[in-house]
Amino acid sequence: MIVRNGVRSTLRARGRSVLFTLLILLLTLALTLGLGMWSYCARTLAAMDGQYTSVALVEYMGQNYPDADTADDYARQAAQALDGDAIAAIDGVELWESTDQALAALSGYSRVDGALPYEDYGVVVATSFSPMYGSGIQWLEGEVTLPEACLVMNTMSMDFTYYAPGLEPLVVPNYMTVEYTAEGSPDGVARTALFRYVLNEDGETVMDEVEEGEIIEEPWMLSGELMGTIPAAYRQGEDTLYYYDPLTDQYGVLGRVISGYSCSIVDGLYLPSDQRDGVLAIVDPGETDFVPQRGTRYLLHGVFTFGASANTTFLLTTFSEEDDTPPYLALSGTDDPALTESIFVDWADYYRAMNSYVRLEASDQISALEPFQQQALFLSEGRFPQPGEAGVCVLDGRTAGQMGLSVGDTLELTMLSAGQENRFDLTVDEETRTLEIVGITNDAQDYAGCVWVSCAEGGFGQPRFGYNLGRAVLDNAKGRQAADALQAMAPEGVRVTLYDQGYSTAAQPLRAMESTALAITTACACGALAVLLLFGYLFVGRQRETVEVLTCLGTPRGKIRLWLVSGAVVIAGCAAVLGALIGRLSMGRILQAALSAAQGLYAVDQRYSEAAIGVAQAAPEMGELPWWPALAAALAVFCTALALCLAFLSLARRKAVRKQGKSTVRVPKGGTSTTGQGAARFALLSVRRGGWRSGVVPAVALALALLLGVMTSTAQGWDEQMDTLYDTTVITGEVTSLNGRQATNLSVSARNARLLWESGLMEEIYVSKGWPYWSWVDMPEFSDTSFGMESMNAWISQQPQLVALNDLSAAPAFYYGEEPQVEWLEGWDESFLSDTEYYSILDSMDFYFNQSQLNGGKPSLTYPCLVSQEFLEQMELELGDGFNRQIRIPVLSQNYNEVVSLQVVGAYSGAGGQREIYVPLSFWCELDWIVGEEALLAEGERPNSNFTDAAGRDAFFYWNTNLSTCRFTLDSARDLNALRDYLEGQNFTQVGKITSNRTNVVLRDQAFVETVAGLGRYITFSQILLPALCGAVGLLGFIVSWLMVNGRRMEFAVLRGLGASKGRVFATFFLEQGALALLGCVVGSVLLTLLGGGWVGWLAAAAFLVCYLIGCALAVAAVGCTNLMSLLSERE
Amino acid sequence: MSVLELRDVRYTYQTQYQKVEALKGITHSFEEGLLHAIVGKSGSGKTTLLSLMAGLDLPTSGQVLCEGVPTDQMKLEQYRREKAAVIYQSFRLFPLLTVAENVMYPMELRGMKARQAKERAAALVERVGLPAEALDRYPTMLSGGEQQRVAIARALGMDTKILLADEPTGNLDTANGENIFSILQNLAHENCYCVVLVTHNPELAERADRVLELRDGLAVHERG
Repeated sequence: MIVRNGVRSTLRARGRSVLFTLLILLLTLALTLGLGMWSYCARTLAAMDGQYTSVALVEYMGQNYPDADTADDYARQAAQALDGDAIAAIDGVELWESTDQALAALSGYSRVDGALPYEDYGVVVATSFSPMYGSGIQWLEGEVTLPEACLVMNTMSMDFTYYAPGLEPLVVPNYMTVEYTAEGSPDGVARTALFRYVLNEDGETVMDEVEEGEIIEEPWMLSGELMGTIPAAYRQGEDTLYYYDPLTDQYGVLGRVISGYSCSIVDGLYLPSDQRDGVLAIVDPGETDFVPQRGTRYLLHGVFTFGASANTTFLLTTFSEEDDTPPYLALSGTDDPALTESIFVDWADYYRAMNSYVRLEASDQISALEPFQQQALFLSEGRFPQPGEAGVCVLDGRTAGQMGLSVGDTLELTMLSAGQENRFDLTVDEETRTLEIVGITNDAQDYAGCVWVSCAEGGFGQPRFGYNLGRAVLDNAKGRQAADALQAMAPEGVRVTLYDQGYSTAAQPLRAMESTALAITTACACGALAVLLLFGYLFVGRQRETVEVLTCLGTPRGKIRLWLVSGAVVIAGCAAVLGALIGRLSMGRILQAALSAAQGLYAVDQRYSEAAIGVAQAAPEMGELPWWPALAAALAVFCTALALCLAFLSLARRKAVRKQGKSTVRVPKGGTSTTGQGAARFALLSVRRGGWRSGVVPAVALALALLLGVMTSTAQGWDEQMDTLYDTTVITGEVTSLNGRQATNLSVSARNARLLWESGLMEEIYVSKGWPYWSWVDMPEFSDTSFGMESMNAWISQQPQLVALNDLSAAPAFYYGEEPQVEWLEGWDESFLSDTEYYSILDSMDFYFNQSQLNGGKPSLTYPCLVSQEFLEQMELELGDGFNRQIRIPVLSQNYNEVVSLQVVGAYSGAGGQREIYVPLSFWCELDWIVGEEALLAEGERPNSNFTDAAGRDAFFYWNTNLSTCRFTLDSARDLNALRDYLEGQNFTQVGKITSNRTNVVLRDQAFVETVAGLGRYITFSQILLPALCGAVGLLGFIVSWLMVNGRRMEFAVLRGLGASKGRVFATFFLEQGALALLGCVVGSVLLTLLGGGWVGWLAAAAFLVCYLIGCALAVAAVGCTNLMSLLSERE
Repeated sequence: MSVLELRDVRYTYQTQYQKVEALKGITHSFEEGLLHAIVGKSGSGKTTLLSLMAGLDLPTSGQVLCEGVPTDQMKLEQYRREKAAVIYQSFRLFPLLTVAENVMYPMELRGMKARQAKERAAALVERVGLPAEALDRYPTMLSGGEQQRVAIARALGMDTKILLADEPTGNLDTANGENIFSILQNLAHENCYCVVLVTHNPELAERADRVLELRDGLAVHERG
């Protein structure tokens, strides 16, 4: 009965019950959603933390980057300079590992993929030799007596000496010209200098400048072209041509020479994978004195080459530089012991061992190694070795398939030691290892022959090759900061790249949702507490009358409590359960909508961005949502309601006691006022005498105007920051290899560089083109055979480069370091690189083209150059000195070795590679090829290969020029998206999206985009928040006005009762409230100005004032609509 | 002479739960120089009738005529300002205005200058028997009787012929009630006001010149 009546009496207070039921329901619903969202975000982020792996790859950007087998001293120095302990101590670094690799021979494995050392080497048994003849210089043995009339060509200097009977020999020197500018000339005079090749005291070939007095008048030759006339007396010996080699002091004549021996290869102790025995071949004796006996079977050591002949050519080579054992051996028969035990067998075994090598890499987190982290590799079977677990390994799937291995099998490895300068200069160690396979990866050709072990099995102590210095495994949440910190402490030339598998992109919206959910939950909890307090007070605490009645009727205390609490409990319980239920049922859809909205808010354009160079994992799917947030919310609300109701019981039982004491009444200063008139007078008097009431409005106005002002000022600050960011940020971009990593020796066509420039969005474009350079002195001797040519080409390609560029920033060596310190020759600076004063080397080159020789027609220039201090010291040069180097310029299928005359105008130190020589871009081409108003070729036009003039030649070379690097600077960061559109429109490739234009462009925009996106979000928030805040402030103004006016309804009624018009009453209240609000706003604005806020603060205050006045007007008008009789009949 | 006349005045209003027919056709006239009393039990319609006479609303049907002109043909604000002054049981004074300013307010409403109004207010306050020191005090500093005198002074300041008083002595002790009644009686008899008094007090009603008794919205008895 008690409960029934308690519930009834509560429910019958319909308005109040409905209102509080709704309020509690809504708050429980919001609490459920907030908790649910928070739990979902926290759970998903935790799951992502396990699913994603963030690593910072630390690489040195060396000349041959990204070649993994290069021996680069600078990379080694950089690796040594890395402080592993300091890196491991960076906040967010979970594991630091420097690269630990080695090679080992795997028993039973024959490598077919990847780099194969000694790929073309062979140890073969050949027979049926038959000589093959060709023309060439037959060097004459012993003392040679030249005829009286003859012509001798010096094979080194290319000078000709004419001998004639009774006449002194006539030497026709062969000069080469070098064009000196005044700045470049050693003596500071612009002139054309003549050089000859001569032997110096050390027997080295050097270029020697011909002094003025030495220059004979005539005849002489200039680069092979005869200048002057040979006297007739000397010409009788022209047909008898001898060759003279000053290095061996030998004479020779043109004649029939044995060029090789055809034979049949009948067996191979070691044969490359693409060679078979039982084939015909040509044996080239090379530098050896091999002369086979007909019918004899020989064991031969050498290399297979691919010369002009269609037949396989086998070039005899010595076993090694140190070993001069002849690489041939006559065999006594098929059972000759040399076939089982000899140096030939040893080397054959060695080559076989070398070509069965596997790459070992040690790591305690193999899944974080680049190929695994970037998902090129994954475990298809088994597991990874645990940290500290020795004797086990993971094997690549291809090798496992090739060898028929599976998990549980073992690998027998013989460790190999690499030479310092050549990874494949291998020696077989005595150390062997047996590893059990615990995991096998997928089949990936690029990783064939790879074995991964834990660090317990590592510590190989091998020389470092390649550019991968190590990797840091990062805490996903702190990846960016840790990578930045790592980059900050990295030595010059080292680049740190963060690969987070798209974690930050996927996690950002979730983090935003998580913090929003937390805020919602906290706000709802506070709101719920406030509402429940009011609920308890109204439904229990204020029920004194009921308590008095119940008490009068003799109701026991416990039952009174039950009466009071039962109704409240029913309302709170029903509302909480209903709110939780609705919240749980709608949570999925609301979460999905919130996630979409957050993802939309956090979405950034990553086209061509450096932020998108790694693989990105898909974010985890939304799983089954838990019930606990709904249960927790309902329970928390219900229990709090119950607790508060119980707490208010004592208040309800307390009897009302009048306040004791004397009230004080104020007397107006100055007595009765006669100031002002009309509505203003009454308003003024109310303001003056309103006491606390007159203080509330200005205080509220001040606080709200200040809040609005601060918000607006902050929003304006964000706008200004955004503007500043756009105005001050310099966005750069560059062409990279397809995986988005900067690579040297790219092939960026000049046309594509121009296409980039034609976007019209660039301020600068920097390009470079390099050629290996060398000095004759440094070049080893190579045989004239095709193998010799191949070896020479290989040697040349390994040489440092002479780089033509228009800005130092186009040099990869300076991409990832600070600007180098340069000591300049007086009057010189970096601008010489973009100077157009110098003409192209093409203008002074002779080359064959379409069967005809073309001549540039201009003398060779001396080009100013920038070299390293180290180079200067090594070469014993000083600033201003000149020197020469050879470079190789390929033109179609021909290579032209050109001598380039250089003058040092600057020396850099402290950055990047130290052997490059930098010359102006105009060494090769004009920058106008790329940035000129008119392209050298119109769109769709193809160059004419039969050109006859410089313009035609330039068009041809423009079409065929490939640049090594290309970087650019955007005119304005505001053009970033326009550039993305342009690049997409022009089909430039981006990482992970290869398009018809294979030039891969990467924009260095990550930091900018992240900052802009962050600020953009604030601005978006402010754009949403400010109007909402204005609305809320307006509402608050209305509420405050309403409360102020409503509290004075009787005054209002009396005014109207006395006959004051509606307008007058309205004016009276409006003026009063307006004046008070204005006062607060002005004070707030002044305060804001003093705090450093700008005019926006005043604007915000004005906006608040308008909102408040509108609210006030509405409130006064609303009171005005109330029936006057009702007003007057209200109780005081 | 009849200043205020009621002709079959009916008034109905809607509360939260029901429609209330407060007046069911009252016809009556009020004359100058007389003190009229309206009596009746709670809910009989006394205050409603007085409010209609004060021009706070118009009757649902029937007419209230002031000097022969129906109130529905006048601007009610002007009527309240110029024709009928009301004295409430709970005084209805502006708490933040001094006694003088309260009395001055209706004068200023009619366009009188503040200084002139102040002088007149002083005279009226003296006339209702309050000391001059009371002029600069807030109403809350005065006793109930004094506050009611201020309310009468404010009503007198309106220069109307009709004075409507709703239970003017209801909140006062006997002595103060007697004083206020005397003032109102004098105003009727000596200054020729038409004073209409709503009261529960049978003694006061007995002393009125004319009495109108209401029951359930109907006039059941008229005396004088």
